Amino acid sequence: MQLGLLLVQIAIIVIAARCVGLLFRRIGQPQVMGEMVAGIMLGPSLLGGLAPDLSARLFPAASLGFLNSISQVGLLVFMFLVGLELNPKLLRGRGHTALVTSHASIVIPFFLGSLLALLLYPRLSDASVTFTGFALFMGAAMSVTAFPVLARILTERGLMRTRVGSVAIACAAVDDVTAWCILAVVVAIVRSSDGALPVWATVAGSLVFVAWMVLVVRRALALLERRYEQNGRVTQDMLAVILLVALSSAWATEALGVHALFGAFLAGAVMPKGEGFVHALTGKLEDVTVVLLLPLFFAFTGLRTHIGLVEGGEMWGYCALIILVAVVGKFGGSAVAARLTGMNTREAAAIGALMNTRGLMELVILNIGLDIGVISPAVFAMMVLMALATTFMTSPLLELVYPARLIRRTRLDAAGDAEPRERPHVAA
Amino acid sequence: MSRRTRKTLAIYAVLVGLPLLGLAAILRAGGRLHAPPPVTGEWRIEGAAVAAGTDTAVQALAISQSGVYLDVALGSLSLRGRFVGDSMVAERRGRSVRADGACFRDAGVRVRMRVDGEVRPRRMAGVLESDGRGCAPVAFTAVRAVPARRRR
Repeated sequence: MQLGLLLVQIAIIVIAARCVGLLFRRIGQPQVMGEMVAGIMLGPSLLGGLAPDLSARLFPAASLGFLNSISQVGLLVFMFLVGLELNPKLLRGRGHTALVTSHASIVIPFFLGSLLALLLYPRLSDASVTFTGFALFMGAAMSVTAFPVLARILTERGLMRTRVGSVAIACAAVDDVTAWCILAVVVAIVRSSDGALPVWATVAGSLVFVAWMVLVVRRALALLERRYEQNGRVTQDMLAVILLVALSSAWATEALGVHALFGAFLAGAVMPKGEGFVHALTGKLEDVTVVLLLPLFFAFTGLRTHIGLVEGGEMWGYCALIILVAVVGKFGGSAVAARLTGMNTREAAAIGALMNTRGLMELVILNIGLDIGVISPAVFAMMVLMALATTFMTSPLLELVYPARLIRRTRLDAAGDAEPRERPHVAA
Repeated sequence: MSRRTRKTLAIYAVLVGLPLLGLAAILRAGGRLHAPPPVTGEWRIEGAAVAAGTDTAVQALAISQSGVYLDVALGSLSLRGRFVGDSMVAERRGRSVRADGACFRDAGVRVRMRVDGEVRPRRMAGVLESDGRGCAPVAFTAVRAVPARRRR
């Protein structure tokens, strides 16, 4: 592998991500949506189809391992930032609506995803994967919500200080944690059938590790926040300690048979949640991760997404069904739960539209599924299309069901209420 | 317990409890489903090499599988197919623009394969057929070389 080729690859990926990202921003979409599309465009679905020789020269198969390694490091840092952004305070005082909506917005799409697996397993999977592993993975993939994208949309639309915003962000926080826990179990089940650690050992080990992180490491990390308050900044030594905690946690969960990303997420979740500390730490890590490293992950995802595998009416039918089930499960499940627990129809529909955003988190989960062999390349391509479709539809759907004039009116009504200050959000 | 709490519990039972029960039923029902055998990877052709497309001596075929759907690369031939029962049938996608041999240029080409599920490493028997005039079917057997799934 030549360093020169790697640098050219990175430059092309960053340019494509920024250009397409900005283009999408101009049409009212989150920038991350454009960056995801840019990754697909650099893969066999577009560049590889239009200019196969150029594609083979720019992204030879032998070079992808390096690209993947760098993107995985970026993803670890990103998952750490997502965990860092989660704040248990988001869940307090949100009442019945948030409790029921958050649980329903996980369980209903999970159920529908597993139901869909009854149809897809004999047709799009093979006997090396158990039905249980396939169905649970499909359920987990359907139930994910892109917490960072959702937070960004709420901030951009001024929804953070409304009832819709506070319920949606609380639900997304619960969804994220739950989806990752479910995924950890799915990965443990699939890997145990490969002769790795038995499921009970993985689950027991993970529970002990989570308890260790929450009860011991979290308290030790509180010292860092005190140091931050004394110094007024996150020093390089503090950053080194924090990164070591994140990397150690990632290594531990990988060794336990779950996945390194779960450990990075957990490390972020147990970090101190003081606003200044979180803001300073995010500022140190976010820009390079979002601008440089995440596009590499999108490109790597794009390079392994062969939309050409979805061929013929039958397969496009399955793809349409996947998208339909994803939308009905997440949008429908969240909206019905919110409506039944006291929100008006427009607010409930807005909650549904927001929770339906899958974005980057879906791509992370799908890549894990493809890596461990629980989904086939064609299912991967269909699910990537589903992630793009559900993320793309969020802004227009939200504008349709909960237009800006209603948001302004709601904010005026709420003016004077004591609302929590907006927090910094990871941009992707 | 207040009326509102009772109502919330009832909604919770319907929206969360029932789907969880349904999930348990799905996992039980799905245990009886059968998926096609895994065939992804490279298969080494045993014995005499097969003439296919522009290549006069093909000694391996590569299969990429998504459930019942297959992409087969045999020499310069790229074929798309699927499982039909226990057998696999794949046909060439479009016409070849290369100067293939008479049996492969502008002629329909298909390969039929059947995996022996009992033996390890897995083996398959196949026949390469061409619609070209005077082209006899070529029979071959192949053994699975590298299972490509389950990357870490």
